[in-house]
Parts: sequence; structure tokens; C-alpha cells
Amino acid sequence: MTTRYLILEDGTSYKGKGFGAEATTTGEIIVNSNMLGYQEVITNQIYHNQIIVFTQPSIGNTGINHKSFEAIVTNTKGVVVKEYSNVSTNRLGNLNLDLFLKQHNIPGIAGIDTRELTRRLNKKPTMKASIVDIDDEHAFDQLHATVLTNQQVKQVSTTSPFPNTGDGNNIVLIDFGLKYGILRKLADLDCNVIVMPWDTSSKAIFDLDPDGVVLSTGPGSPLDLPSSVLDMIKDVQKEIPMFSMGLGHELFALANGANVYKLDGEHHGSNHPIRQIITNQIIYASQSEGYAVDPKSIIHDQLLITYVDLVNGTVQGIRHRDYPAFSVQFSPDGGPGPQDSADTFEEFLENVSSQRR
Amino acid sequence: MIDNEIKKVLILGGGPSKIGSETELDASAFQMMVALKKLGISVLVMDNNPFSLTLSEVQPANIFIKEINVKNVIDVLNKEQPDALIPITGGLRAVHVAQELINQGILEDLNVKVLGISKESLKVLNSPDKMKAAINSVSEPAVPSKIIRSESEAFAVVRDIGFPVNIKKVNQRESTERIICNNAEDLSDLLEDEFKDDSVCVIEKSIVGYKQVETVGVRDQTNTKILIAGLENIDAVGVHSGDSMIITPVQTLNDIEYQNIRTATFKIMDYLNIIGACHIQFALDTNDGSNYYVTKINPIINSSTALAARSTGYPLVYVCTNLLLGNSLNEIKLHNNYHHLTPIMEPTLDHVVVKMPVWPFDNIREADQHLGTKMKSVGSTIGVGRTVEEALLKALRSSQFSPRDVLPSMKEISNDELISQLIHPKSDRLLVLIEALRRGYQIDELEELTKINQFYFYKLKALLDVEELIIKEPMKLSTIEVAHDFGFGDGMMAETWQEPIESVRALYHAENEYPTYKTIEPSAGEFDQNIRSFYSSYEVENESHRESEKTALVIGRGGNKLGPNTAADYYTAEMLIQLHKIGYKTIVMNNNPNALSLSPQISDKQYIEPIQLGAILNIIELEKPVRVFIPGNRHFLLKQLKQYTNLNVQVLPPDQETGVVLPKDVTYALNFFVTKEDSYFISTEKLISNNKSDLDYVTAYETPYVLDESTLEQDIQLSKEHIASSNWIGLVQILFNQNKNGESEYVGIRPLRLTETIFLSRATGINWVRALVRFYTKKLDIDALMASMPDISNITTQMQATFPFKQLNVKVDHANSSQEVGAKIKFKIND
Repeated sequence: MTTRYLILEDGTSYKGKGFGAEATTTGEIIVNSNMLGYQEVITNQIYHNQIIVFTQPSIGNTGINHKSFEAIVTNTKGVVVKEYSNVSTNRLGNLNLDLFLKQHNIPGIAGIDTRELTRRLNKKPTMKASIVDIDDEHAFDQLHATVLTNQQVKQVSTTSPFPNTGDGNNIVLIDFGLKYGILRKLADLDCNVIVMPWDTSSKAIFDLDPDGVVLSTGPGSPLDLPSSVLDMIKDVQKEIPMFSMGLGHELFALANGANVYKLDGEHHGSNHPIRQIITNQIIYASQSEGYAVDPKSIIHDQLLITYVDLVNGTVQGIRHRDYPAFSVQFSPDGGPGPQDSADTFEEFLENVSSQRR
Repeated sequence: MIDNEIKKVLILGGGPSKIGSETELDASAFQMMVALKKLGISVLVMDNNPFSLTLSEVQPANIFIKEINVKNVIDVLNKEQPDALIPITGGLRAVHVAQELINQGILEDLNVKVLGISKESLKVLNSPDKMKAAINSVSEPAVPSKIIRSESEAFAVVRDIGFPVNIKKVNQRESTERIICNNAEDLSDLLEDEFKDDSVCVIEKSIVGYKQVETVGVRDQTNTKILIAGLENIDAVGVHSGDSMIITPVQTLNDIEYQNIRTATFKIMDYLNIIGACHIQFALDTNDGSNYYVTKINPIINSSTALAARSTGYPLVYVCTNLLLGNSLNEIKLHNNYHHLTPIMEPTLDHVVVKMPVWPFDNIREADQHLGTKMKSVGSTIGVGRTVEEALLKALRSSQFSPRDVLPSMKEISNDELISQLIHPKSDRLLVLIEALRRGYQIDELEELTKINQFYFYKLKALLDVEELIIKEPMKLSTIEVAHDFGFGDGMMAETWQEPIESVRALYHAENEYPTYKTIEPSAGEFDQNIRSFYSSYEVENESHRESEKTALVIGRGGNKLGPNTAADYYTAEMLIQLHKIGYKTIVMNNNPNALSLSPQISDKQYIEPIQLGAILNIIELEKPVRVFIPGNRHFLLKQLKQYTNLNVQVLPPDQETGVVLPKDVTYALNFFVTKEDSYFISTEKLISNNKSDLDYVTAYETPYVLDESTLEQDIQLSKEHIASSNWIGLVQILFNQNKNGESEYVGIRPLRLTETIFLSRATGINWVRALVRFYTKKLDIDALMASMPDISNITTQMQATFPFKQLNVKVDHANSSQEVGAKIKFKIND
């Protein structure tokens, strides 16, 4: 194992041991506190621009498993961990975390005091970091000079439609950085799903004659997407039941006149209590968010806040007052994380059936 | 919202320690009592365990030292009329008593509520059938089983569930063994015998070899649920989870499998209407973890809930106390050391905890050392680290009987025996696994033989690689750095290299390398919390800083073994409380997850570390304590620490190595408090031996021992002379032997042992640990103390050791004090 360095924009350097790809990488560094599900996390497209620090000290323990992909093509920029294991659990016994990261050109660095790093990152706004071979001035210069793309959705979204067939309702799923968990949940409910590119127009959607429309999670800022996306949402929500998650939720809010702001610190984990306002019930869900809907900007005769994070007060869900459309900030499909909110998919399908003509 | 109608509660204690329940029950009862008092509720406690801290910390009028049984509980309920009864910190016995009281309608008559356990869960607690029905009614899988009356019925069931199966004869009078049948031939052979006399059998799918995983969840009355911890058993089903190594957080499940059991835990808790904590066990198919069974539901406090709390830093007992009084999770107000949302945050860990069982076989050689479905371990230790290897090795180091820090080896074991032990596990399981790896067994082969996940063998292999590095590259900084990362101690390296431990330490101290201490807290670094529980690692950031200028370090006893260990833990806890009261900041070092002495309420700081010289010196160097206390006799440790002359080390009771005269036979003793100037008679005590009057077999005590006035006077005089010519101070015991004619003679002198110190405290109502602590810190007013001595002549106090022989299925004619597992105490008012 070679010695490599994790360097941060604030000038800090950590010495560690490289694994995965040997490439130099730069991305926003964020902390994920899920205790299990490293494969789901690494393959989530939401991390397109990001280097992930795992607080769980030991990853790689269960190999790479065909049920745990959130995307086959993964775009995570790097993995930072205390320790990793090279266990294979696939049937050929030949695919472990290290090899997987090599295959996808993702560098990893181990032997890091991730607890100290987490505590440091929690105190500061999101910053950039690099995994490099030498932590010299040049490396820091490079890090500072690197401009991360804001065209992430364009890069991760499918360019051509594809189906995920089923016998039930016809659902159009707009791919902003599709997380397979959404497909799995819709498949559990027998939906016939058509996955469409992020820039699909409302007309193209209507032409598919869907019973419902789902907006997926995705990477980056909703403010970086063109207003045509918001126009699509405005058109579709009037006609067809709609359910949005993550980035989709943020876009849904924007389309309905609310503002979205960048969080001081991103939150990635499943330990926060989330209150469902209408029932007062507290649930836990997989959260991975860098942006949130500003509650003060919500136009109350249009939108209703449905869920709130009790730790940082962020809006976690909204519902349209006039249309059968709602959204959540978290990932109700889990992957990784609790299944407490999986019933939101059923709720969506209830909307679908009651709208069906 | 708190139920305002509850103003007075009765807590049922756990009784004497035994296999399956040790100090965790009293530790929980204690924490619950503290929490209840804080909420302004009056607390009554009932227990007959002399080593109960809860009994010591409740005002005397509210203590009921009685065995927990239906009659005694009814007496107290009648007399005291509490509003509620709390049985969940008293183990199964207390819960059964509560069940019986409900069944008899007594609680309803007296208008006493049962808190902490729902009617629904009381119903399933005793009945495997009802438990299975409960599991199935929430659409979760229970291990399939069926009652059969004939061979053809049996085969019909097998066609459904497949081999292997367990067959158990249903017999009202005695419990019968389960017999495993792997194929049709086994089954028909067995059934041929069973159905001769119209027998009825239960046939059940065998899940031996499945992966064993436990969860601990919490639920409030608003239906909010959080999972405190998932506990993965390293050993497969077939080994009782109390005898298995356990690791948390769960390591070898994927998220889908983990979420399945999390969801199942919550469904069951909803169905049973549990308010508080619940511990549930699962068995997962190793080939397909999404195929699993719910195997057990424990809606009470036990060692698993204790482990969950200790490992996460989640204030479980405090939270449960609030829940059972009617608060919901988001209404609970915690001490401001915690983030205010901690009760409602699902714990997430950035460290690894491994629990290692401690078995009693060194002291009970007759017992069968094979591990099975009946628990045999008497205690456990935990190792906490930032990697699995580090946690595993620290747990192993902590569990070793010898305080010497070496990686033990099983070189001498024969190949046949090794294979046999891989398949049929015995105690010291981990050492056998390590030995197999040393002998070149392949990992897939070992996984097949042991049903232990390959992941753990990779980890053990990594440890062996480091061991090899230590051997090959002695006295190098680079070696030490790697060794530290993997959890090896300085002592182990020093021993291997035949160097003084100081030379090893000097090597890395020269580079300004010191251990970093990390907080055991439930938010994985998300919040700054001032939680006072730490473990060591060798990383960048140290979170523990010198506590004060006036700190006392108390070195705990580690995992419970047989002998006076539960007593020593109580003694340690009491010392911490007393040291704090006289103005010391107190720090405790221990590694028993169930320890009373680790209760966060009674010390300023807790270190979970192996009790070994290197780890102790690390803490001493950081904290610079002005006093170091070692409760109980530990010659080796003391000898090691005495080399550091700048340390102010005090063993309590004083070291018995020198100056002790111990006879073979003894009848009674006189106890004294001795200062440099004078000695003060306290009590007479009868020493009751299990083998004639042999001192080694004294395991029961009675006070006072009635002597006629002149004999007593004579004995006191004689004792004082012996004391004066000895160097002993503090609590000193003078031993006498009585011959057949009733004539007694002086036979020996020793410091009062810690079990008897506690006994003396119970008998006199004076806290003698407090007196000793004050005496050794020069804060004792001896005259005032002796003036407060009550007249105890009209009350006889008896204490009797209890033994684990029945649970271990052995018969021992003369039990000795090194075989004690706990003790019970009772009072008799003399006419």
C-alpha cells in the first residue's frame, strides 16, 4: 500500500494509505455517517462531485453485492476511511471494494483519523479536498485552482429513455441522477416505469400517458438547472400525480415559488429525527442533502410543509395544496438507511389511483 | 408527559449474581433510582444482594433486604403502598413475580401499576408458543415448529421445513434435551423410541450455524422508535449468545439485511406495546441474509441492553426511566453534558466494540467446557477501538486471567483436538481460531468448519501478520506504530523483545507519540458532547485532557470471574463515590461492560481499557493523578506499579501478600478498625466453612457471633496485642478457632477482605468503605465513627455465597470461596 495524502482547502494534510484507483482526485469533501451500506453510498449518483468520508471505521466487510447498487456507473470522486477490508461475497469470489474502486477509477485513502476529520468538517462550510501522492504546495495550488463542474445532472442522467416494466400503473420517472432504490420500490408496487432524461419536456411526458410522475434524486444544486425543468414541473403537476425526492423535491419547491439555499454543512446519514407534521410521528430516513427549502419562502396557499428535521430545522417534505403532488428531501427508499418512510411510495400510488380516470 | 399520579415506586433488584445476570442489573437499577429521584419520585428498593449499590444509595428506611418472591413483595406493597412496581431491572425472577402478582389480581386490588413492561409482553415472556404467535402475527418469521404425535406426522412436517430438525420430547415433569436429526434415518431411529408410550414431541427446524444478530430498540408511548444498537454474534447459532464473542456495530450484514431486522424489531415492539427498551434476537441464513427468523424477545434490561448502552454512550436507563413514567423521547431533558436531542437521535458509531466472554472453568475444573445453548460464561470484557482488529485484541487482552500482556498461544493443542474444537466450540474460542490460522488452515475451510464469517478470519490474520512483524522487527518505531494501530499493548512488545516496558515506551515517547483518547458517544462526531467515557487509539486528535490537579484514579477489576469479583466491583463503585465526596475528581478504568463502577453517575471520567501496565501508565501520564487506588488484591499489578515510586498507590483492602497469618481451621473472627495509635473493636463474626472448619472453604458469615462476656473481653485483649505487634492498619480481622470443648485460641490476623467489609457494612449500617477511604486520605474522625456504632446484638446478619454449580451441571461437595458467583444476605431479629 502506498502512502498518499488527503489535503483540504483549509491547508490541512492527512497522511494515509492509498487504495482503489491511484488517480489524483478533487471534490467537495462530505461526511456520511451511515453505519452500513458503503456500496449504496459509493454508487449513489448524488456524490458525483464529492469525496465521501465514512464515519463508520470499517468498510468493505460485505464485498460488492448485486443487490446494493444504487447505480452501475458510479461517479464518486473519492473515499476516505479509517480502515477497509477486501472481502468478496459475490459468487465468483472475485470482486472486493478495492477492485471495485479501481474499476471505476475512484481513489480511496485509509488510515485517516476520520473522527477528527468529521469534527473539523462539521465546524466549517463545505470545502474542497484532494487525494494526492505528495502534499506539496503545488498540490494545494491545484486544489485551490480546481473548479468543479456544475453540470452534474447533465453528466449523470440517462440520455435515452428506458423501461423497467411491470403490470401496474404507468409511471414516468425523470432521471436527475437516478437512485435504483426508487426503481426497486416502484417495482415492489408492480409499476411499469419509464425512465426519461432530466430535460424531458412536459409534452413528451404527456405523450407517454403516465398515471404518475416521479422526480428522482440527483447531485448538485437545483439552481444550476435551466428553468425549463421548472416549467415542466409546473405543467405536469396540474395534470398528473407527482412524487419527488431529494433534488427532485428541491426542484418541485422552486417550481412552486419557494427558495432553496445551500446548507452550511451538508448532512449525510440516517440518525436525525424527522417529524411528520400531520401525525406528529417521528421517523428516521436516509438523508443526503446539501440544499434545503427555505421555509420562510413557502407560499402557504400553495404549499404545505409535511416533514421537518428536528436537528437542524430543515424542511423535509412539502405537499401541494391544489394538486396531488408532494415531495420529500430524504430518500424514502433507504439504500442505505431505514424503511420508516417507505409508505410514501404507497401514498403516491394512492394519489395515482384516486386520480385515475 | 410525566404521569403525576406516580409518586412512590418499588424497584425489584436482581438478587445474587449468577450466570446470565451479573452487575448489569444493579447498575441499571442504580441508574434508574437516580433518574427517578431526579424526577422527584420516592424510591423503594428490594433486593437481597449484599453487593448492591442501589441498596447503599437509598435512604435506609426505603430499603427492603429480602429475597424477591411473591410473598415478600406483597408484604412490602401492603406496608408501603407504592403507586408502582418496577420489575425490569430485576431480571427474569422479578418479572415472574410481577406476572404472578398480576395473575392473582393483587396489583389491581392494591392499585399498584407495573411500569416498564406491558401486559402484552408479559404474556409472551414465559411462553415460546405465544412468542411465536406474536412474531407471526406481525408477519415476521419465527422458527417453524410443530407438535407431533406420530412418525408420519413428523415426516409430513419435515417435508415442509426440511432437515436438519430438532426433536424435543414434551414432558411436563422434567425438561428434556433437544436432539438434532440431520436426515431421515436419524429421525426415524429417534422417533421409534419416542413414540412407544404415546409421547408427544415438538419438531422444530434446526437453525444451528445461522448467523446470530441481536437488536436493542427503544419505543415511547407516541410510537416513536429508535434502534440503539445491532449486536452481531461472531459465533453462529448453537453457541449461546452469552458465550459468543459479540461485535457492534454490526459488521457482516449488508444494509438490506440490517434494515430488515430493524424494521422487524419495531413491528414486534409495536405489537407488544413496549414502552422502554426491548432486546430481540435473530438468526440469519448465512447464504442469504434476507432469510431470517426472530428467535427471542426480551422486553427487559439485561446484559445486551447494557452492552448497547455502554457501546454507544446512549443514556439508555435514564431514557427508559423517563419513558416508563410517560415522557416521550422528545420530551426527555438530559444532563447538559449531552446534546439535547440525544434521546431521539438514532445512535451511530465511529468506533468498534467487541465483547469477549469470561468463563469459570479455571475455578470449576469439573465442568464441561463445551459451549452450547446453555450459557456458561460468568462475565465479559469489552475492547473498544477504531478498527475491528484493535477492538478484538483489546477485548482479548482484557479477558485474560493473567495481567501479563501477552498474546496467548495454544501451541500444545493436538491437531485432532483443534479440529474437534473448531467444530464443537469450547471456551477460549478465539485462541483456537488463531491457532488454526497459525497452522495454515485456509479461511474458506475455517468458515465452513466454524460457521464464523470469513471477515473475522481476515481480521485475525491481519493480527497475526502484525505479531510476526513484532517478532521480526524488534525495538523499531515503525513496528510499534503498526502494533499500536492493531491494538497490541506495550507490555506484549516488551515481553516479546525481552526489554523493559519503559524502553519500549521511551522509543515512541521520544517522537512525541502518545495515545489519543476518543469519546464513546452516539453521534459519530456530529455533535460536541461532553460525555466522559473514553477509549484509546493512536490517531491525530486527543479528546481527553487532564481532569484536575486533584484526581484519584481507581483501577477497576475488569471482567467478572468467580471469586469476590461482583463484590470488588461494588467496592470499586463505593470508593469512587466516597473519593468524590471528599473532593477528588475521580477517574475509573475498567473493561467490564456490566460494571457498576462504570455507571457514569459515580465518576468524573471513565476509561474503557485493558487493565494492563502499559494502558495504566498511559492514563497516569495524561491525568497525573495524585492518588491511585487498586480495589482488591492484585499482587502482580501492584508489584509492577510499585516500581513507579512517584505514584501514590494504595491497595484496598491492603495487600495480603506479607504479614498475614492464615490458619487452616477457623471458627470465628473479631473485626477491628486500626489506626496508628489505637485499635477499635467492631464486631464478632462467625465464619462458616463448607468443609469442617477449613478457612479456604469459608463462604458464609454471621454476625454477631455470641461469646460470653469474659471470653469476648479476653479475645479483644488478645487481639489488640496481636494488632499492636503487627503493621496492619485499617480494617483488620483476628481469627479464632474453637475446639470441641468450646475453648478458643488465636490463630491468625489479616486485613478484612472486601466481601466481608461489605458484609460488615450491611450488618452495622456503617459504610466501612467510606471509613477506609477517609482514613487513607486522612479525613476520618475515628471517635465520631466509633460513637456512631449501633448496638447490633439484637439483629443477626447472615451472608451466604452462591455458586454456579447447578447452571454448569456439576456437583461440588465442598465449594470454596474462589468459586463464588454472588451472595445473598438476610437479617433475623433475635428474641
